[in-house]
Amino acid sequence: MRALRYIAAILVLASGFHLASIWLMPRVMLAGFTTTLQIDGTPLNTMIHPDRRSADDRTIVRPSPDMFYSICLFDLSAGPVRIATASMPGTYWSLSGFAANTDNFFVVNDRQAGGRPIDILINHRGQGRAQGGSGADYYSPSMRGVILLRMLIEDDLDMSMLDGARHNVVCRPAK
Amino acid sequence: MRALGTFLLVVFAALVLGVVSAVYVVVNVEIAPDIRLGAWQSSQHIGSSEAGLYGRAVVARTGMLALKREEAVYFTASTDDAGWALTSSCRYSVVGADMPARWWSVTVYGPDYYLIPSEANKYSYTKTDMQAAGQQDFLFELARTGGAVGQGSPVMISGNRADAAFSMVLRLYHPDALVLERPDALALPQITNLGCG
Repeated sequence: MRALRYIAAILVLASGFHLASIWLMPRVMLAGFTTTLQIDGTPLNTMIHPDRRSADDRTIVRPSPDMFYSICLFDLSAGPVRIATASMPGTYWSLSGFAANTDNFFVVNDRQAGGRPIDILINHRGQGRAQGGSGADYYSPSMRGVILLRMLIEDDLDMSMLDGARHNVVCRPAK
Repeated sequence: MRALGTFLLVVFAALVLGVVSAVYVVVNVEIAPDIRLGAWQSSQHIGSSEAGLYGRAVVARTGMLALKREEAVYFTASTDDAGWALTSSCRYSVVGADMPARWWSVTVYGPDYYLIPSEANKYSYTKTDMQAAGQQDFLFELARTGGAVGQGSPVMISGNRADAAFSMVLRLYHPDALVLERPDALALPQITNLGCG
C-alpha cells in the first residue's frame, strides 16, 4: 500500500516536472541561441548581418538558404528599441519580432511598407502599460527577444545590392 | 531522517521521469500537426501565441523563429508518399505545380535539421527555379549521386552520409487566402521513391 502511495506521488510530481520542462524548452532554446551569438560578440540592440546560410552554419535549425537573415537581440530593460529601414529592395522582406518563448509577436513586410522606409518602436508590454499604453508600435511580452530581418534572394546576381540594403537597417535604443 | 530520504528519492525520481518524458516527446514528435496532406504536415499555430505548450516546444526544436501563418505557411515532410522515412540510401522524385503563394521553396535538411552539404551549393528548389525553366510545374530529384530526372537544378543530398534520414520543408510566403482558409484543399508536391541502394 505504501509503495502504491509512493508511485502515485512520483507520477503526480513527474507530471508537474514534465509540463514545466515543456514550458521551459522554447525559452531555453532561444536563450541558448542568443547566448551563443553574444559569446560570439553580438551586442544587444544592434542589427548584425550574418552571411547567407550554408551547410557550414550551425547557428539555427532549418534556416532558409534563399534568404539573407539579419538579427537584432533586443533588450527592453532600459527602454524601447527602434527599428528603422532606409530604402529597401522590391523583393520580399520582413521584419519580425520573437519573444523569449519564441512567439512571433509582430511582422512588418515589404507590402505593408509600400515602398516607404519604416521606423517602428518596440516596448515591453509591462512598461507600455505603465506609460499609459501609448508610444510604441509593438509590445513585446518579454523583456528580451529577437528581431529578425528576412530578405529574399531571388537571383544570386542581386546579392550585393540586397546585402547593401540590409546593412542600412538599424536596431538601436530609442533614447 | 529516513522520511526525508524517502521524500528526496520520490522527488528525484519524479524529476527524472518528468524531464526525460518531456525531452522524449519533443525529440520524437516531428511537429504537432493539425494538417496532413500526403507526406506533408503542418500546424496552424506555428509562431502563434495560440500555440500550445507542446506545439511551441516542438517548433522551437525543429524550426525556431518561424513566422505566423499569415506571413508564411510551413509544411514538413520526413516520409515519402508511401509513408516510408526519407533516407539518403534512396532516390526520390518530387513533382508538383506552382503553389498559391507569392513565393515558395522546398528545402532539404539533414537529420540534425541543418542544411546538407551540396556539391553545387544547392539546398532548395524554389518558385524562381521553376519560373526560370519557363514552367508552371516542376520535377526534381533527391539523390546522393547522379543527375536530375527533370528540368531545373536538382536538389542533391550528396553531402549526406549513406542511410541518413532527411526531411524537407515547404515554405509558402504570403500565402493566398485559399491556403489559410482551406489548407486541406492544397495540392502539395508528391514525393516518390525511385529506388534504394
